[in-house]
Amino acid sequence: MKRHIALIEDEPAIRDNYRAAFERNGYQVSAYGDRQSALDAFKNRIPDLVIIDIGLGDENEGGFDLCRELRSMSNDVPIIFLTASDSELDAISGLRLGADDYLTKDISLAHLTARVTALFRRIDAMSRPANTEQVLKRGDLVIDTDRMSVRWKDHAVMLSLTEFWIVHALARYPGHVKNRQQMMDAANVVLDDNTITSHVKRLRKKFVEIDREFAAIETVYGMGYRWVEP
Amino acid sequence: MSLRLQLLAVSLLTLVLPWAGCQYVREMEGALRQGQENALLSNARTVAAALENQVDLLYPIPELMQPSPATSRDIYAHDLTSAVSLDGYFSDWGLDEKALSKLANESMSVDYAAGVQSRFLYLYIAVNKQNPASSGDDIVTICPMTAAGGGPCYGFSTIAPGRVFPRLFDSVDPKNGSVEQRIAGEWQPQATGYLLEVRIPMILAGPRLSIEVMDMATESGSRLSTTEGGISGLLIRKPAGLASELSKFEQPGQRIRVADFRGWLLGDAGSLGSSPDDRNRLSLVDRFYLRLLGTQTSYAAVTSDEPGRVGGIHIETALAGEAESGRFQSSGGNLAIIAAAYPIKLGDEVIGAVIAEQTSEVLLSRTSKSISRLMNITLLAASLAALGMLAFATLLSIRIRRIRDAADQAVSPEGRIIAGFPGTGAADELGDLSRSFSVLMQRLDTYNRYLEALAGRLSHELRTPLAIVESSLDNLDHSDHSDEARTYAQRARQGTTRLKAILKAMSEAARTEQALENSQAEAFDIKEWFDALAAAYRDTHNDRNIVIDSPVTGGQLTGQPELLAQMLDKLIDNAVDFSTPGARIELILSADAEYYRIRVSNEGETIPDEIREQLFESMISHRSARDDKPHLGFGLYVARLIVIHHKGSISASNAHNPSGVIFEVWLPH
Repeated sequence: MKRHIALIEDEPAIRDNYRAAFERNGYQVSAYGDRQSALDAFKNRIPDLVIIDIGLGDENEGGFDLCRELRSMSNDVPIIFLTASDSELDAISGLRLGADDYLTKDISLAHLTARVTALFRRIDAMSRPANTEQVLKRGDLVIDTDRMSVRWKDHAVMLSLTEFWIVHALARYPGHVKNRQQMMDAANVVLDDNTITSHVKRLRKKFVEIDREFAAIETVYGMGYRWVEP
Repeated sequence: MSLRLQLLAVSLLTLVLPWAGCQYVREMEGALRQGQENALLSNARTVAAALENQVDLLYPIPELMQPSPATSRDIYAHDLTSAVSLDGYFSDWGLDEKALSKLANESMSVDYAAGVQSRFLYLYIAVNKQNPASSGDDIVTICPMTAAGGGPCYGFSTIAPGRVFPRLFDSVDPKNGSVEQRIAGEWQPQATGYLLEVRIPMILAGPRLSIEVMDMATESGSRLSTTEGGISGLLIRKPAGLASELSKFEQPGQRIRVADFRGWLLGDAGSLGSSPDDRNRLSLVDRFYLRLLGTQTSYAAVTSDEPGRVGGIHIETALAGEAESGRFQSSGGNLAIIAAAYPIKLGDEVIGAVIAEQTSEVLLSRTSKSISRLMNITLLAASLAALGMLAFATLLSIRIRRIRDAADQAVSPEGRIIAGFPGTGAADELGDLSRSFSVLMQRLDTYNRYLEALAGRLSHELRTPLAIVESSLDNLDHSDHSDEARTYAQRARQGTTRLKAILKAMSEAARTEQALENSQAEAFDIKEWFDALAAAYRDTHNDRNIVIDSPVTGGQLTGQPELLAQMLDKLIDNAVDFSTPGARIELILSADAEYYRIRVSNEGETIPDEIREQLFESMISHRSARDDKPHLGFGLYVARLIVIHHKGSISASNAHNPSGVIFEVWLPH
């Protein structure tokens, strides 16, 4: 059965373009131009994935409210936030609205569809028993590449997809310095240097919440970052 | 000239006050004096008019009105007020020595005086001889003339001192005339001669009198006489009755004197009032003021105070027939006198003069006191005004300077508004000025911010259309189309890529600002940071000659190392872009007590002066070569944002020999 994607975007041209791209990839797409029509539809049927544009219409917080209401209806449905610019991205991803990923609208369609695919894969992996071959262990870090989940000192770390890919890129070869370009490629995204920096900062913060002594991500000035094992 | 000096100069105008005041006082004083003189003159005139009707008061004997011949001397008999005893001495007469008249020849001299007291006429005759020893042979002859005319002469001669009586002079036998007991004399021999005091009852005295001293010892008989020949001189006395008449005209502080046409004092009444001490009551300050203002007029001719006579220019003028008044100094020099003299006329003839006198001393001290008071007050007022002006000028210049300082501080050298401008609440023009400035600054600031945010806002707006284009192109890739279409699609995609890069550059400033606000500072080692970056740059730009030096022993800096790295990236990018392969680029980290200094210099073109001020502004780009990357001039602007966020400063300068550019960043510890 085709996976059902719900897309809420107020700019009609973009909405239609995205819908065309997803349908081309074999998804069923419902597109909505405003919050209310989307909510009405969700009351009948919860989609398999929801993509929300933050700046919906006139309401600044339109997207946030929709996300909250959606979450109250379903805890599991994956949600992707689309923001207009990187600076908004920084601000919003810090809000921890319970979305699975945060992307900017200038992401290419190819990248966007790749992420959607990955998200679905993660969901499927979650429902399957853990596949130990896909598990990477680096010290206190446990990465399940199948489920795209991360555990640190046996605590689950809630990461967005982008963050997961970054950790994965770093921890795969501990001690190797990854420059920003490499990290971007790994995250399937084109970000500028500042955004990578703030992603890494947020990453560190999430780990530090679990473990005060976390220092595994090291900044190499002028070059990039690397994963260090104590 | 500063404002204060200008206002001080203007305040000197207030000195007009004391000067004007003094002029006024001087005018007043002159007027008062004039008034006083006029009063005296009219007083004298009144007396003269009264006396013109009573000529016999002046001249009880008509003969007295006749002028005497030049050969005979008139003798003035003074009123003797003190008790006179016939002792041969002058001292008990109570008269000044100036009252003595003189006769002299080669061998002897005679001082004589006449006085009247209670119906007796006294004569004092002092004879000095070259040959005193022969005094015994002298004869002193007194010839009073009776009213009828003619008269006896009485001769005194003696051998011994003491009481003598004269003999009636008989030309035939001088030594044998009969003794006149009624006339007494006292003979006192002296070392140089002898003294003779004579007392004659008034009934024996007439209108004329002559005195003769004869030395019988000499061969030719030396002789001195008040009468040289012909008729004797007049005996002039103050007429009885004149004094009481004059006393009717007496006024306090005034003295009235009447003189006959010869200048002899016939009568007086009243006295000059104030004491000479008044002048000494003027303090040093008062006298200084007087001298300064030249109100002290010098007083003219001294009035003669030869007893019995009156003298002075005004009196001479009056005796010539014209009334005259003036200011004089009294004999002792200690009294200033205003005097008016008025002629007494009988028909056309002047028969005497009335002199009215008053001291102007009182006036002088009063005016000088008022002058000094005036000077004190006006000088005080003038200096208060000047001080007030000075204080006001200081206040004004402080306010103006405050506005100037605030204006200076509000605007940075590059023209950015860095501080607010406080507008004062004052209601005057200065307050308006400062408020206008304040409004001006605010508007400028607002406009600057608008301009700076413009790029960011534009890019924000452009994102959505760009997203539409890109997503459409993405979809286009997946649909069937000809090669031709594919080519066009590709070109379109290149265009959007460039657009995106431009947008990214435009919004970079805004994004950096946000990153600066949102991220937290951490402590990091600046030497480690620098060394790592420098090494990376050297590797990346291996076609430039990069020289690194960091003579710093490491130190902690609190800040955002990633952003500082971004800043350094920009400086290095600039250094690389503006130099040629093989050029030397220096990267130096140094430190002093307060700052870390990072210096990036490159060989290449210099920065033109007109650009240098604005180098760190947004949208300024000065590149001579065109390349693929869009250069919107944000690089240095962002670099400065980052440096300022770290409370540091950044500057650019040119180097010569070889030419190049130097960027320096100071970061405080």
